[in-house]
Amino acid sequence: MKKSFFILLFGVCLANLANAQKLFTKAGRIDFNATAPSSPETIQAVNRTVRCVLDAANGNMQFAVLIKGFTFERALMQEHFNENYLESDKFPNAEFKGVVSNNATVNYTKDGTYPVTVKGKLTIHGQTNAVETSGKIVVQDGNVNATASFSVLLADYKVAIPGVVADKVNKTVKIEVACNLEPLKS
Amino acid sequence: MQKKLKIIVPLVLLAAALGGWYAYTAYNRKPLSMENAPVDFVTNTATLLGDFEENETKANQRYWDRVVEVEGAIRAVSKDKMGLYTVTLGDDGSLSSVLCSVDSTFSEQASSLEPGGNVTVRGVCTGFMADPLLGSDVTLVRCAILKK
Repeated sequence: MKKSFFILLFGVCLANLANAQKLFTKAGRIDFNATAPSSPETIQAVNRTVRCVLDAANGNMQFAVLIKGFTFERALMQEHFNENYLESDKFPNAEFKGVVSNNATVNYTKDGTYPVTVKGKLTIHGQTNAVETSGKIVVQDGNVNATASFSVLLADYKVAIPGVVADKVNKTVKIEVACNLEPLKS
Repeated sequence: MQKKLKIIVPLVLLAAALGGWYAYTAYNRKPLSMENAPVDFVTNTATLLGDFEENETKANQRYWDRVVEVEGAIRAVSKDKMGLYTVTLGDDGSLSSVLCSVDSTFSEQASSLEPGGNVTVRGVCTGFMADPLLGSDVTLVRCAILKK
């Protein structure tokens, strides 16, 4: 009985130790801007319920976001985005699975700004492509903030833009990710 | 002929003006404020989460893209780099939650919310995400804070 208790306690401690290395948020932010240079109006949206998990031990990183959660200033843009372009009823999620390739250079316990390179697979609109981008991880007073900025080509994700708005919507969309991460407690 | 033109030309101009006005208002239409939006469902955190965890397909058919009013305990309140709030509703003992992305017009009300208190929010349900590590979440966007 006593032996079983200690084995169980040891197991719980191990699980806590493993989880302590994982950082997460469910309230990350993704901004995108698809404004064409000649467009008279700004085409941008934000999603503030982005899930992100980063394993500080090995740099494995994962994002997931609900497409329907992107909000626009104009209702019509939001409707076209969901119904015609991203087809959020058929493809409700977008996700990224990858790794911080220079994770060994980040000291998650020491204040500082650490430039990072992130590589992985990005799935949008049911299409998956390899992406690589630079970003930074800022550690300050025990808080970990991860940011990255990159661009995707709409054609790579089979997002078709009708000719009538082709001069307004950029073929390349700029995406910015910002996440305040906290330790995952079991 | 001239008599006919006198009738047709003003009618065509009127139709063009109405069409232009309709196109302008449709294009510039703002998303409906949740404060005054007609509510499709009134529920609480446990019921909403339970419905999705039990049968995601059925729950999506019921709640997805609908206006949902939810009452529940506040687990966390977070503010992003632009000063906008996300309120997490759920029990302390579980990772699962209802995530409420608060509309910018309700930032002041959100800033006074504190974990442990109760709140009623109204927003558009955008779906459900679940995994073994982070638990399951139902997400609401453009949320209005109704009661504290």
